[in-house]
Amino acid sequence: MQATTMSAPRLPLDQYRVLVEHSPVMIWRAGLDAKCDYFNNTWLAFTGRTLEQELGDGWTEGVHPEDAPRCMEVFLSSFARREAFEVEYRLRHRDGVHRYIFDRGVPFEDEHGRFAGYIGSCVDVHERREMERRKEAFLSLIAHELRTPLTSMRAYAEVLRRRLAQAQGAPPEALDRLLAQIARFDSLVAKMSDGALLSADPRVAGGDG
Amino acid sequence: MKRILLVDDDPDILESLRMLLEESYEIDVALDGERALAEILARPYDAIVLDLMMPVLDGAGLLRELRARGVRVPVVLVSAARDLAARARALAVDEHLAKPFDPALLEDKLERLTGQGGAAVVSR
Repeated sequence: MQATTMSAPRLPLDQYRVLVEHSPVMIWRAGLDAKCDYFNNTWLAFTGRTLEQELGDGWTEGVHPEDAPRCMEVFLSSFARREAFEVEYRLRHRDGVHRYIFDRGVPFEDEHGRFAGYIGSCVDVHERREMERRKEAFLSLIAHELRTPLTSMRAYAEVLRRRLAQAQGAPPEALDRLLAQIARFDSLVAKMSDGALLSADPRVAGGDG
Repeated sequence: MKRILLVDDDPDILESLRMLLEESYEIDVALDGERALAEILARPYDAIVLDLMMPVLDGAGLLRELRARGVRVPVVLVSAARDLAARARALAVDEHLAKPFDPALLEDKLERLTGQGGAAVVSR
């Protein structure tokens, strides 16, 4: 965004227009008032809305209601500090489905070096997010499914330990080893579901007994 | 001897806990909430060990049915549900244990709820 590169374009100006309008990334611009005054064709093709509908705060109508407060908070607080920001949120696609997009905004300056607003670019990361979500759900499901047989394994092993103790005093070493392996399995399952929980749900409470 | 009903849709949970507890308690088992309800209405129990997720009638459903009938029986909720503590509070049950649990912890809870000692004669 330096003035030097702006003043010495290596392409005719109308070709810059083609670059911006048909870039594979969605591009937006906001002015000093934090209101958007530009969206490229790629953005409009994604949302299926007109430029007039998206201008100002109109674009926020397409942001998923659950993501909108966080998205606006990141946008406005970064704007106030004039810092670059990165935010991921769900934006309504023209087919009506919300898709995860990754939005990166950077402050830009006018030809006199004065802060003039923000330019942002967004990419559709929906498939990647869905894959991560499915992976987390799968891990969590596996951990959950392992807990039931693990519960009966622990109970059976305890029954065995007691019965052997009653019959012959000291349980055989193999049983101690079996119990140690069950405990190991147990902690693996706990770690697995904690890991899945941590990335899937930030409200993870301490493991309740 | 105190009588306990084990309710879980996994036969091995029922069998392993029955083997664990049968020296200290009279044990009955039920594979779903509906069968458990029939058992509880047929005879009094000193405590129930209850799973949450079950076919036909789940743990929460069984508790609703019991309360609707004015039946009060101590309950240990056992489940692998993530939000078990919150659900136990919401259902106002006496005790809860997250699967997989230490069998001795279940015995301690049952001992408290029924006022009867468990198999503490065997060294741990």
